[in-house]
Amino acid sequence: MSFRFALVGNPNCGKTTMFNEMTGSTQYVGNWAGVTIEKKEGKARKTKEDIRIIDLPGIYSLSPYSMEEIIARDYIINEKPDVIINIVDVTNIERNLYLTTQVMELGIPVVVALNMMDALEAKGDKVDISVLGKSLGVPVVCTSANKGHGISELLEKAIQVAQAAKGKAVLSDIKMYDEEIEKCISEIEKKLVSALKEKNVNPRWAAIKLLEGDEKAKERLNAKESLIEDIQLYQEKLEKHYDNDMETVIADNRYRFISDIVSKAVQKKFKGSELTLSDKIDKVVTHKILAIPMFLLVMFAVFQITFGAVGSFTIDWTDAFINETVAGFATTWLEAGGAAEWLKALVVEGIIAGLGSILVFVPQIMIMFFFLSILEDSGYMARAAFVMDRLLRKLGLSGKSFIPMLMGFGCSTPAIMAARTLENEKDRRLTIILTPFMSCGARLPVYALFTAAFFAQNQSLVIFSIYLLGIIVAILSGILLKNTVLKGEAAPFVMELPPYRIPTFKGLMIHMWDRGKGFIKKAGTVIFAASVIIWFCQSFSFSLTMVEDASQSIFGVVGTFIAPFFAPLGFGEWKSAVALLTGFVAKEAVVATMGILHGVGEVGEDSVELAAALQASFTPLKAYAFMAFTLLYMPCLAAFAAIKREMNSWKWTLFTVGYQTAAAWIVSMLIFQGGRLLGLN
Amino acid sequence: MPLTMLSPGKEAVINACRAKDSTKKFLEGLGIIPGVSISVISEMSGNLIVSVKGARLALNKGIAQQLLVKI
Repeated sequence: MSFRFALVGNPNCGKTTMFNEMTGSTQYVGNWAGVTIEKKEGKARKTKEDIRIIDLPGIYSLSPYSMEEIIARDYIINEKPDVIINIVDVTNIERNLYLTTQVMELGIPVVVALNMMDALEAKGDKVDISVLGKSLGVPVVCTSANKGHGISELLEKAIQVAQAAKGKAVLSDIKMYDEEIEKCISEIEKKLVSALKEKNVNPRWAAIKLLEGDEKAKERLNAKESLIEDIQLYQEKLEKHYDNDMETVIADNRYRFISDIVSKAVQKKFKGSELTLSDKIDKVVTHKILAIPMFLLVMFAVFQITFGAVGSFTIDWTDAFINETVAGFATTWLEAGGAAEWLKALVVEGIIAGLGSILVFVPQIMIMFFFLSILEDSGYMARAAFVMDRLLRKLGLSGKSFIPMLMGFGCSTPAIMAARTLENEKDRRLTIILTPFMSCGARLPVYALFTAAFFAQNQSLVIFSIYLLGIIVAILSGILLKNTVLKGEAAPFVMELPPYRIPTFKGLMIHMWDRGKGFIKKAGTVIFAASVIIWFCQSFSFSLTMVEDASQSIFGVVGTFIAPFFAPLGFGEWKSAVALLTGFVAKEAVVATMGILHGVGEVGEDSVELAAALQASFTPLKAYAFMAFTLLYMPCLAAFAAIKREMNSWKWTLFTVGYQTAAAWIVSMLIFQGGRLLGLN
Repeated sequence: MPLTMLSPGKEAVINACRAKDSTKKFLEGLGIIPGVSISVISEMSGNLIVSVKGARLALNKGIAQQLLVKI
């Protein structure tokens, strides 16, 4: 038999961890609300049956107000999974069961997984699952997804339920509302049964939704005008009776139903409202005065470790490995095999030089992702968003924009996608435009190369200043855009703060690898192809003959043509122009191109030859302007595609990259011309 | 009184929510509805961390002003 199970639950309930445990796939686990935005599917391992697991977005309710809620609700109603596995964070059971009360009404079999049982037991609390199961009218299984406990039992139970239901609707006979409301629901239900025969929906669910006045449900059910008016009368009657709007009355009823169950099924060891450890940490972390300095200190520490001693040690080590061991081996081997001169050039000067220049930075990028993962998995990221809300609001943004922006330091592409958690469209657009200004890991090799050649004394300070420049440009752009094309109030900031957790080593490694592998993959595919093409374009002329002088090559001609555009910025020579052009493929390609064009096989941080070659055509001021341009100009192809997807409009996509490139040109020009006026060189 | 007036450590009951419908609906999902008790854990220039049904929620000043509570 083959079945489809959908995972539904609140953000931070451990759903993604559960999904990983069930399917064995390793993917992103975050600690802030709404991390599972895309629909993810996997095949359950360790089961005889063929089971597809669908991971739905983390949501608090099924009311269709945010994109995630609509995705989840549409999936459940239109695709009808065989079983809904509703994951409930048992340490936060009252709030989590709210979604359960809504999911129960859909007419699809539900199994509740009481997750994080280990945390509950550690607190000394107890849950009676038989009472809970009976009151909810659905099977309940205890799990601790982070430890892998209870997952096979959960799947077994879900399979049983699926086999029993055989794809038919399961109608819950639990009546959770007040008598008056239940009476109206059953009356409407009767009317709907005849009116909506052909529609494949649960009449009770439809009755409740129509009574609530849910616009999306009305649209979907496409009910007759007379029926809607009829239901309106019931709604008015009840609203008068309760002296409140119907939505609130229904929500209130659901919470009462939950409170009643919880008081019967859950035994708490401590009842009081004393502060938890997380609260005490929050008192310090979100302190009026200390919060922002502490945040800056954390970020500075991350930079110091990533770009300071530890980072450069890893670079030296990988550099030696690639450029001495691998390149040496390849040369010897090719010479021994009697390979043609051009083939040797392609492999050693093209592929190894191009790829090597990127791979050298993989350990450093991994270190950066490791720290970003700690910040997210520990729960600090959500606090940082809260702390930053006050500052971001001045730019017309909400604190929620902060998470995509911070992720932008890792890689712009997922960061742009993370902007989906913003409810307000203008906030989202602005966040997408500003996120690429946060310097991503791929731009790091460019800075590392140039700072080593020109600012060897205070390398990490100069790199830090580039990152800071990105932030400043983002701030100024935020103010500018919010007062012109994207006017409007930022959405209110409401966010759950999950308790602090000590990240597990396994979790961090999965997380780090998941984000970092993209770079290695990119090096193996895009950068590999780019290296070959770059080598070809600089070795051959337009008439496809091999040239001795690179300035006669395809790149030489193209570069010379576009170079004047960069002249006011201080780097109007063809090699830089071409390097920036190839940077559109991937920003790391800037370094690869520089390495290949300067005919240096070795492009590590302490590469004396390339540094010398660069020193011949750059000055420290020009190098800084070049780094600023690399930081700000249009992001790489992958990020461009993400922008197009998320903006869902060519106009906005072109505006975004046009704006970024214009900003890059202006800022670099100001740096170079301003620096010259100040007598810098 | 608005939630912003509630001093940290004190508990109160939510009386009404004056936010616009979509925000209100979102807050309902988080447990913020009339009749539920709420307490302020910490305050930072008007932005609040509150405790509702055992969970911690961060609210900015604007939204906290729209929540009316009674002690």
